[in-house]
Amino acid sequence: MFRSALALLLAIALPAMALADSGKPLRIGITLHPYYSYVSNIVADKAEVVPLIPAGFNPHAYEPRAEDIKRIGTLDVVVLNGVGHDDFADRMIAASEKPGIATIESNQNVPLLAATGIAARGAGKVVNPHTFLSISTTIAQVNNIARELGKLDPANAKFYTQNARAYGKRLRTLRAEALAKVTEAPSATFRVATIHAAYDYLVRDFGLEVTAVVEPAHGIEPSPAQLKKTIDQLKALDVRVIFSEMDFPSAYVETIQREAGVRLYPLTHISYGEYTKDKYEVEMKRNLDTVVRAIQENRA
Amino acid sequence: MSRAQVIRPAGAGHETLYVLLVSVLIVLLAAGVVALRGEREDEQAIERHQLDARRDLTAAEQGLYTDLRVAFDEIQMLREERQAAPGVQALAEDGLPPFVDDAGSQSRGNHQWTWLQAGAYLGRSQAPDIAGSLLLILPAGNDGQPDIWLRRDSSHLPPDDLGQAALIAAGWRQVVSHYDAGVTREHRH
Repeated sequence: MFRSALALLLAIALPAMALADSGKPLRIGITLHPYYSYVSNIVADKAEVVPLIPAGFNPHAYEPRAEDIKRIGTLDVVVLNGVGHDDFADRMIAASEKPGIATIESNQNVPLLAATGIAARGAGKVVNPHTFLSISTTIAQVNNIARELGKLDPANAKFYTQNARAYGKRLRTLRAEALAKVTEAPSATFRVATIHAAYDYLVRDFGLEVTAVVEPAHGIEPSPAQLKKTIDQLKALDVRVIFSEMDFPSAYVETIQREAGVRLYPLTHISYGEYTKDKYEVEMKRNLDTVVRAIQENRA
Repeated sequence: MSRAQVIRPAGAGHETLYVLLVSVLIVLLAAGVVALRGEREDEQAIERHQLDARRDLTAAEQGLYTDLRVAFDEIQMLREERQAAPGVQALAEDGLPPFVDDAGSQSRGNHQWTWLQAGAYLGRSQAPDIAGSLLLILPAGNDGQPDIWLRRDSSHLPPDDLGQAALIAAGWRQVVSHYDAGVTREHRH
């Protein structure tokens, strides 16, 4: 009787003990949409990914709210872009219940490009934070994040690295498929401009360089005088393609198109809408296809 | 009886002096604030034989350099699995830039990659004015860092010696990048 009761007790207790052994799954905070996709693909079902700012807010104009700051207290680690696109996170963490929470600098060891326009103040010390808009710099970040998460959760370290590698491979395939459609490389006279200073990393993947950026600062519309200067510049440099912004449309973009005789190709900044695991792949595919279309339609 | 009363001339001598003193004080105060709270001079100095990836490379070279750094992570993993460095052909079949031949590689100098037995991948540029030739030297172990070198002349000679002094003497320059997050951030972690 006693023995069977003990066996029953053990049978009930064992699964619970096993669960306790594996530890509580990590709760990982992220600041921007691409990082939600990165971390979700790395951790799969072994951890929980929590956005610091709710869907629907523009990270360019976000001001921390009390309930968002409070949520940081429930997290184990925060994954940061760290080079200028989520500076709000530092203030939120400092004001939270866990000011000393572990953070992961995704862009550590990623070759960064200098910022352009007004943001370039400080003799090139300010960098372009949009490393998430290129496949190469994304894979570098995914590898970094997986490595650092593995240090915090050694039991799953190998799982994270394998997932990161598989995800990297899928992303590489996206890029390869896009490039395969470009049967002939763009000529040296193919010049592009962008509205938002966000796509330097993306066009580097294609061997292109951004000739001009229309916005004087990130998310700031140009004044009429600045607009005229930009249009003159685009004409002088014979820029034929301009990459505009899909998620944040502006009326003045049409003026540029009309006056400078350029063709517009909208790209997405991947910082709008719901947070989903496949968002990055879906939207990046669209971006790559758009760049390919721009190259094909404007061959000299 | 008249009393002599001294009335000072209405000259602005003293006032000028006081205004001048206050101005000097303000300037000193401002200088003090700037000295104490001004932007730190944290520019990373690089050696004469080095190139800064952010400032000294062309757009094509920047793209290639990033691809090489990313490829290095994959090469290290393949090396661990196979106990040998993967060949250029295998990397190209894996679709790993910059080893794969596509529109991207063609517009960035059309590099021809070869494996050097000494332990490096050499990419000979076909258009040195767009991007120089590149050399990725693998570390001896599995946990080292990549060592990437560049030369812009059209010499196609593979280096005989992968030692730093020999590479510098042969005209190669080491590409370095540094992570300086946070000029826009208030707190550093």
